[in-house]
Amino acid sequence: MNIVVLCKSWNHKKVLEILEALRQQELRVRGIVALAKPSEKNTVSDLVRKMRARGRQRFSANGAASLNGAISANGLVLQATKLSSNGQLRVAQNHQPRMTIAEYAGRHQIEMATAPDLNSAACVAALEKMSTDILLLGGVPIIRANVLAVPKVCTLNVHMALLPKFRGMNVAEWSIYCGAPVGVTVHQVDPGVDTGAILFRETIEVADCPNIAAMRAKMSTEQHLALAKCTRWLVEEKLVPAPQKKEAGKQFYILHPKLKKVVEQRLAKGYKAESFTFARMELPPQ
Amino acid sequence: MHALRTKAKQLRDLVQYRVYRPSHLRIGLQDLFDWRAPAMAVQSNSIHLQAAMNWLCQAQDANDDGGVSARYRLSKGWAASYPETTGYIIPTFFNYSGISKDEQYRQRAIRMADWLLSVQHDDGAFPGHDVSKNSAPRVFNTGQALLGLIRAFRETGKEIYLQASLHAGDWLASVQDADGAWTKFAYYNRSHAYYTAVDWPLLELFVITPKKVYRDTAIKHLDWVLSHQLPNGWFDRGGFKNDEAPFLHTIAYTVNGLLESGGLLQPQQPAANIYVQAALRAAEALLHRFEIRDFMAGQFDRNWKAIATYSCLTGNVQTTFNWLRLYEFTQDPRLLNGALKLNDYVKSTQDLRSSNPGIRGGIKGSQPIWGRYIHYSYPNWAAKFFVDALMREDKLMHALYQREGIV
Repeated sequence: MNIVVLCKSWNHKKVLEILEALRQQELRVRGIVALAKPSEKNTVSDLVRKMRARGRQRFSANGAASLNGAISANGLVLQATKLSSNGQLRVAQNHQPRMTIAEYAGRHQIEMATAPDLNSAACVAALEKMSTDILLLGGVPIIRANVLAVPKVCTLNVHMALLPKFRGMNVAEWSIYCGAPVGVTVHQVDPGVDTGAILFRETIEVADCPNIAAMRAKMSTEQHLALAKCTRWLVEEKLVPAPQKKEAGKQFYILHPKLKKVVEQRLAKGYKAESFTFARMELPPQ
Repeated sequence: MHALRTKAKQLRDLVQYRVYRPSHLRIGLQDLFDWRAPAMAVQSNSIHLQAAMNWLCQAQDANDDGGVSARYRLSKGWAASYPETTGYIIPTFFNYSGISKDEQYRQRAIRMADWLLSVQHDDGAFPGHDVSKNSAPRVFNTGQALLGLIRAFRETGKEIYLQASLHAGDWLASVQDADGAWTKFAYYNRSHAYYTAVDWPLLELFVITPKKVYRDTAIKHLDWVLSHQLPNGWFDRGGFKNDEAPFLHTIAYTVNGLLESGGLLQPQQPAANIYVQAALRAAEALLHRFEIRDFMAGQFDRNWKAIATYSCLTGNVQTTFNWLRLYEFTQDPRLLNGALKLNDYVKSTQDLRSSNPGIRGGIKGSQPIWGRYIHYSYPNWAAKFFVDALMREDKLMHALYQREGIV
């Protein structure tokens, strides 16, 4: 089976974690197709566009939301490094990994290609050249049907919540906000948002995570292990995909800092899942 | 030649909108680069609320009649008082008076209601447009004035407001078409889905004087609106004109009228839940559009595709209010989440430091200010809906934080 990883060329830490987890499962990766980093232009119109984009990014709803969150401005996930003296996870800014994706690929004889757009013909050609059987998504934007049609077996993604209930963004936090169990799901990818058939789900205990950053760090590691395990079981034909019903879940979006506070508070108190109660229709308050 | 004409128009605009005034120039430059001061985006709601209320007070004081000036225009300054929006600003002032414990706002609301009595036509209707234009009676404007009169009656118990309300309600019922729509005395003489915002005050009137004609008139129109809703939540006839994509402003009116009407009817008629569900379908479609683009466009087509690059700030705050109300109905936290974000966006467009009292604390019709909806102006209804949305957000967040033990 030819396993190929689709990723962003600058997302070293995440991709290296996936590659290492696959290696631990004794799976050989055939290739990596990475989104090339956009080049910087400096024409006057680009500068004006950048200034507008900067203004919009700083004050856009989701831009503001990310300021208080676990995701730092440059997109790096804050990572739990080790246990502190009181037994709680200590959280620190993740530093650059010791190795880049390209260096790792070179060291392990993994073919590497880049594409300016992961939904482009160039990306499709690269995947076809690698005779892709299983495509693994490593933190990429929405992938279109033309790319999803290439792998002979399927495309897999790992999602930071239990599907089908929680689709979309910041779903680990939303799980806690809604009082639901926290976990990860490995699923096949279809053109919808997290609507593909489910292969594997695993609940993760987060009572030992004092805040969102620690929770995300723990879940990040767990989800890459789950993805690697599932890939192995898929190769061994031990998995049966369970299709999702569209109405079985809802799409969630980036959590606002004011609601993140609720999640932080619950984690600080040692979060235990309650019953899932949102989305009821009832009479309005009189 | 064309380039010359364009330049000439741009020059004319610069003069017309008085960009030589520093406060106007500043707004123009900020909007050109989409720069909004960082501190403003993170101010507490109470600061933004107070600034908007101060602006509304300025708008009331701009004319001596007790009504609220329709808008501050960069071209000509404050406009004449506007009965329609003065009507629905009245409940906002009563509500804010309750929250701030400041009697001033209550007294101002009563002055507004008294002014409304003075501009009501003999047949019970209220005029369209502001009072400078000597306009013909209008269904929509009468409905909005009715909201203020009913509230004034509830607050003061004075019979005069009730009588004026009944008079307006009777007129509304008398001019309705047989199929439930209003075309006579309607904007552009055509039927509109957003007249659900007339159904709601009629149902409010039915609550205080159980005269069935008010309820029946409202239900007839609500059902007419439902017959114009598509499965994706879209309302046909949702805008001012047939041939243009509706502004978010009128979409939000439609949603609000449906949900408030459904809320009033539900205790007696559980089947009225269909109105709330219809509102929810449209509100969820808007939420999705806003979240995936991280921007709320000012106009949409019937597939909910954004067809504007500007944002209709009035529609934004009306929409956040609707999401917050629907959150109260459904407890779906995604609605609350979206409302918090969109309120933040509008807060970041509010100028808290301008030396110009027509700008300081006001909310623009569009962002940028030259967007198609009420361009180059600060309409009073934008500030009113902004205040409503922030007060509702504060109420819900206070309850949530209290439940969670967050100080």
